[in-house]
Amino acid sequence: MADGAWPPLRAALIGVVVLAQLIDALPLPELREDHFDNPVAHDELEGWAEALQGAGLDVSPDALREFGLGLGRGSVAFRKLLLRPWFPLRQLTGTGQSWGLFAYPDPYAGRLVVEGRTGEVWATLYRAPEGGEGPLAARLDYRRTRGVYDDACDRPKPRKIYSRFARWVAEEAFALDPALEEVEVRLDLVHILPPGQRAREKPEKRRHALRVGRDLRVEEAP
Amino acid sequence: MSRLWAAWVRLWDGHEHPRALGLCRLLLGVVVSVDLLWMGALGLPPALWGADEAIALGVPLAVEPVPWLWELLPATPASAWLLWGGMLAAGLGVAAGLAPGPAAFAFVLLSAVTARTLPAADRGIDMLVRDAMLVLALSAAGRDLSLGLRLRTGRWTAPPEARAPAWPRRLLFLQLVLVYFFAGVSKVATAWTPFGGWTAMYIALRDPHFAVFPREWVDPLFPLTQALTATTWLWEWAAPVLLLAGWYRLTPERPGRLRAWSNRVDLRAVYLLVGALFHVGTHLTLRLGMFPFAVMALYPVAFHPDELGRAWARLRRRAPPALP
Repeated sequence: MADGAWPPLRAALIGVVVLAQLIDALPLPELREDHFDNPVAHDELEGWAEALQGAGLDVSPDALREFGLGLGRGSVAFRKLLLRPWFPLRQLTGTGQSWGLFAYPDPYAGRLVVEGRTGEVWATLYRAPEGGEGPLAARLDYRRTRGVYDDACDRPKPRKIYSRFARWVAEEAFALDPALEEVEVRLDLVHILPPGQRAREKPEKRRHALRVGRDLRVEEAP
Repeated sequence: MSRLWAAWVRLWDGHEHPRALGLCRLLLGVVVSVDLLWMGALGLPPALWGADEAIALGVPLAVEPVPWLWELLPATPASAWLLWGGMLAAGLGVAAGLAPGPAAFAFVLLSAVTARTLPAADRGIDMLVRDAMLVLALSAAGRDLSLGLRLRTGRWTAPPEARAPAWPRRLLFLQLVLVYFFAGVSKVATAWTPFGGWTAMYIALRDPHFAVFPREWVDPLFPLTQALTATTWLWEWAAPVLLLAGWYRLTPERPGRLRAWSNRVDLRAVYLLVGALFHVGTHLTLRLGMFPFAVMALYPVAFHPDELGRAWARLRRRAPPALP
């Protein structure tokens, strides 16, 4: 290609790429009904409604919710439509711009706890964050593994992968300790409030407890 | 309009020394290789990337459509190790600068397979690494600080007169700005604002899956965490300052007190120094894996290679003389 034609063509191609990435990066509220199952969403609605009311706007949490859902439906469709031609390349290369570091810090956080039973005695094998020493802790602390339980399981309704995760953790634990008879995996609910509001902090609560026996069948814990 | 278009074409034109791209390639390659080596040492590839007939978290054949690699290979633990080995070889190739273009492209394709095999294990930083690697794959980043160069010419570094297209560095610089700016814009939770009491950092520091220090250590530092929350939020929102400062650097001959001041204090260096402190701080106080290091690996692209050369020369002058 002639030298004269390449710079404008390259600039045009880069322009298309930058535009697509900007559209992808726009933090549009892709809200769905099930997002409001999360207590953080309720707190956020109340917090923002209170802030807007303080600024003189008569907005209720319900009105904000409806506004967010409407905007969410529209923005999902808008982004999908614009990025459709980009989709095959995105799927092949796994590129995109959707991230946010602690965009929504979770005051209703989960704590991964793994316990093992030998005879009648239950012992803690892992408890985030201190975890413990040994290969099980190291594997659970690794960032990609943490992504599985923090992202897909630590939520009001864990995703389907949670039972697979519990089975995998149990298999790991059984391999490390042949005397173990049963393993419990759970994500306890930890309520986090700042020091001044400590009295309002709810006590830690057992949650999403699954038990796995030597046969690797996963069952809900009693 | 035609003036704007001409300026846009000019922005992506031009050549410069490949030092900044070479340094970025080297750092990013090292970071992803260390992460993969640690993953391999833990024996995790089969568990995460799948073997349908064994107990694994990823289920390659359940993904629709099935990722291309799993059309070619059986979904077995051996294949998961092969995928890991391919990514590690590509990461090391990028770091060493041995066929860095094909290596970076291979890394992108294989990493995308892992992202689709087990999306929950694919973090935002993995996507950013793929974005950066794709640009590096199309660049001349292997022409400096590389084993390939050493094998071809007998030297590790490119001669001062070496030139490579400047657009990949500028595009990666824009990527860095986008990362920070949209990270700030997406922080709409009240905890990042005065309405939520600037509590975001405190909550993050106490999240059991990310915490490093116990509550007893974090509580007395609550006011500091509030200040850090506000600083982080403002700092991320201010990311476009990097673009402005970069433009001022490109056009020092133009007038303006702000331009002169920005060029004198080097606003980019100040911004990125705060960024480096932020990343080192979060690395020490939160479990974030390779995130801080992978982002900082992009920092060299914020500077013109000549600036990096001058900074390196200054450092060498200040270093104590070598022992006889």
